Amino acid sequence: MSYQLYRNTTLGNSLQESLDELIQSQQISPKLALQVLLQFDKAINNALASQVKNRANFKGSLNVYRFCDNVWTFVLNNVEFRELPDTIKVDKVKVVACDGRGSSDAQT
Amino acid sequence: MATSQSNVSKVYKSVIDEVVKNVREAFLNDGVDEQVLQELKQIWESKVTQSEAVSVPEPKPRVLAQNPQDNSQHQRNVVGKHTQQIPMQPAIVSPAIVNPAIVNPAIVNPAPVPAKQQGQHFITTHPQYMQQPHGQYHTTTQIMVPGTSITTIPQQIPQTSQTNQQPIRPAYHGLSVSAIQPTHQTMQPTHQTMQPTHQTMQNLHNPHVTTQQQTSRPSVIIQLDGPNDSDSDDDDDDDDFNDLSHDDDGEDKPQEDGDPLNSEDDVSDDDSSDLFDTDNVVVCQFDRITRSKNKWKFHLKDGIMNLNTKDYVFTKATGEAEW
Repeated sequence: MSYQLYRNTTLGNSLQESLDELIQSQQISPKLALQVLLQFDKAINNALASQVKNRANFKGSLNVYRFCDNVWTFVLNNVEFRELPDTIKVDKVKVVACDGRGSSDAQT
Repeated sequence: MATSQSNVSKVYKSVIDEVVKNVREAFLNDGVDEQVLQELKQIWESKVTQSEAVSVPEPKPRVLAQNPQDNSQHQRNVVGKHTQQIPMQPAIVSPAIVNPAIVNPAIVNPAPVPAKQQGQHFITTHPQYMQQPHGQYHTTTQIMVPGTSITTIPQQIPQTSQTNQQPIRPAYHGLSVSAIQPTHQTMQPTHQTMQPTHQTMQNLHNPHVTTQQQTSRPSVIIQLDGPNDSDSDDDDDDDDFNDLSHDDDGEDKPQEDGDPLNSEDDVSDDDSSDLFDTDNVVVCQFDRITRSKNKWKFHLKDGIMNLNTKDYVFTKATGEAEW
């Protein structure tokens, strides 16, 4: 299965904006745009599972947590990310996490 | 960083290629030309590049160019065509728009030449008048000094104001533009950046306004700000100046540092929509989320993070946080 949540990233948003432009100029239909997005979901899920090797590590204080429809959403404050490989500090970060427990077997 | 970022761009590139490859048939079936698909790819790639989330070798001067534009826009309204000739120096932008209340035909041409020559000070003069409802002259002086010190301003204000009833055309033109500015010790970088206060602003324009208004309270009103100025321009400018320079209370002047002070305090009190509102986002999948009392542990995977405008990817991430 391919999650759609990666549409809400730099790469996904850029694609959606690009598709919107082509729809606006009537070069493609919304239906075709949707097919492109579904292909994007597949491609990004696969790429993350197969091409990415690096790990990350973070520490911060949890401000908000929410578990709804099997999706966790966290807001953390004063977070320090390590091994990126640099250390990066942010005042606030939102983490949106879909359930990855079953999908890894299915994908690999 | 370099490795991580190059990894990101590599992953992104492969995803783009993959998507383009896999939708080609759908495009053909839909009767859409291959060229449109290539256009999609091109737009997509350029948007990713423009987002600057993925580091690119080239430096990015675009961001720098924004600020001078803002300033120049303000100046352009005031000084009109002269401003265009003033070199923009983003680091030391100190656009000071001085509007002396010298009522003298001598300054019909508001000294554009000194303004140009004094470009390093970034000061422009522009006499401007506004007749108040009660018929009084109203001098506006706006001095914006973002973070730079103008320490070399000669103190020639008295000259300006005292000679204003004399034929001072040469004098005025000889006067460097910066001379019109009052020199005050408060124009120090620390004051400006930390606390561009009321105090500072007052000192900046008060001597101006008071001396000039007193000495030059005129009985004649002449349109003195150059032949090319339009009325609408003047109106706009005056309004702007009123806001800034006339408010001697100065309560709203330290706008620059007003926002940062409060922005973080508000976070915990805001409603939930603001609570979740941040530009730093991690999109991922969870393997395991555990909690022991107020200590949380996160085991995440397949994530894309946008932190401080840069993108990062991870295959696994672990995190700890106390609630």
